[in-house]
Amino acid sequence: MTDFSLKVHYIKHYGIFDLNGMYQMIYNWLVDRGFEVQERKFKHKVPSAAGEEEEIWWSAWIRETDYIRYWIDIIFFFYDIKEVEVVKEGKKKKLTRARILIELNGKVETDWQKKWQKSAFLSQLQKFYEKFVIKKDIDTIWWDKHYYNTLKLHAAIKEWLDQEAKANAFYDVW
Amino acid sequence: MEKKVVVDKLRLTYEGLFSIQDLYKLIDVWFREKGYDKKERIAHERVTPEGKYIEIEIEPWKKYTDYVMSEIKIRMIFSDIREVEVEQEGVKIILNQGKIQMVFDGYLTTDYEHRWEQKPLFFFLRTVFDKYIYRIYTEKYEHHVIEDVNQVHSQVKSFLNLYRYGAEVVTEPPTEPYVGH
Repeated sequence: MTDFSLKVHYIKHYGIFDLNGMYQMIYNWLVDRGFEVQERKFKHKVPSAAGEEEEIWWSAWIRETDYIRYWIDIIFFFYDIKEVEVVKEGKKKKLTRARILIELNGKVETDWQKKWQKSAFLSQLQKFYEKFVIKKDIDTIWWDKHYYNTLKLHAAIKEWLDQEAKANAFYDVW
Repeated sequence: MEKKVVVDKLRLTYEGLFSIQDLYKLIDVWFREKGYDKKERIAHERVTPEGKYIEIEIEPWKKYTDYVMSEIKIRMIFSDIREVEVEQEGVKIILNQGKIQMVFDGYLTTDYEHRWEQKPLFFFLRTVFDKYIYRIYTEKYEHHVIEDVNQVHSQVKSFLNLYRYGAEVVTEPPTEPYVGH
């Protein structure tokens, strides 16, 4: 079993936005693409004068093949959370003002069924297999595909937050 | 893995009209066309009383061979960003006005797969190999990195110059009443 980590991406934002809408968008994005989503950690700090603090860890995975599994790890940090009422198109709406830090990470996991871990010989054979037989495939197909799909989620979050730099020229890679 | 700085903090500053979305798109598209892979380390945006503050750090990379890789780091800081309506060739468009600070760095990374770091002897051999045998090739790749950094830098400069001379009228409310003669 080997993990090939993706590169980490961070999104920082401070402003007014629809927090629940953002959760829903990310959850839907993952589920629509067949990912299983798990909330591994939820931390809520007692509100101070500045506002509440939350830390949420999500893990999502999808089986690409019998040998390959993709993981996306998202960590949300929210600081100074305060609910604000905004009038948009004549309608009152409850939104959130907060500082956000989103860490987007992931990995490509091989031999997730641990079929090659049954003996020392198989384990060594797997190392050889990954190092010499399918190395190029891992690099140029599975890792690349998963990396660029994760970047699409990155772009979707930026789009949701209506950030200025939300273009993604790599949208059609994979 | 050894990382050599081949372009050290090439700077670009600008103040005036531009479009952040178009500038970002230009850089993104340029790297894609040049065969770079995308990495955006930080995308930071916040609203301040003076306008928006945006900080973006991108680190695209390109593998030349199994041993040599190029990395370009661009740090962009946009401050006091406001939206203004501008008339260009008779058409009203929305642009951004504010300050830009950009820093470009170029790196040449060798042995990025850490193949020659497993034993001290390998490490020693790699250094000798890099310094005396593979040097001609490494220098060639260094020039590629420098060329790419210079190209993207001049692309951005030309793009911003278009705004400097392109916008005809800024339709912001005047700060002082006009007094005619």
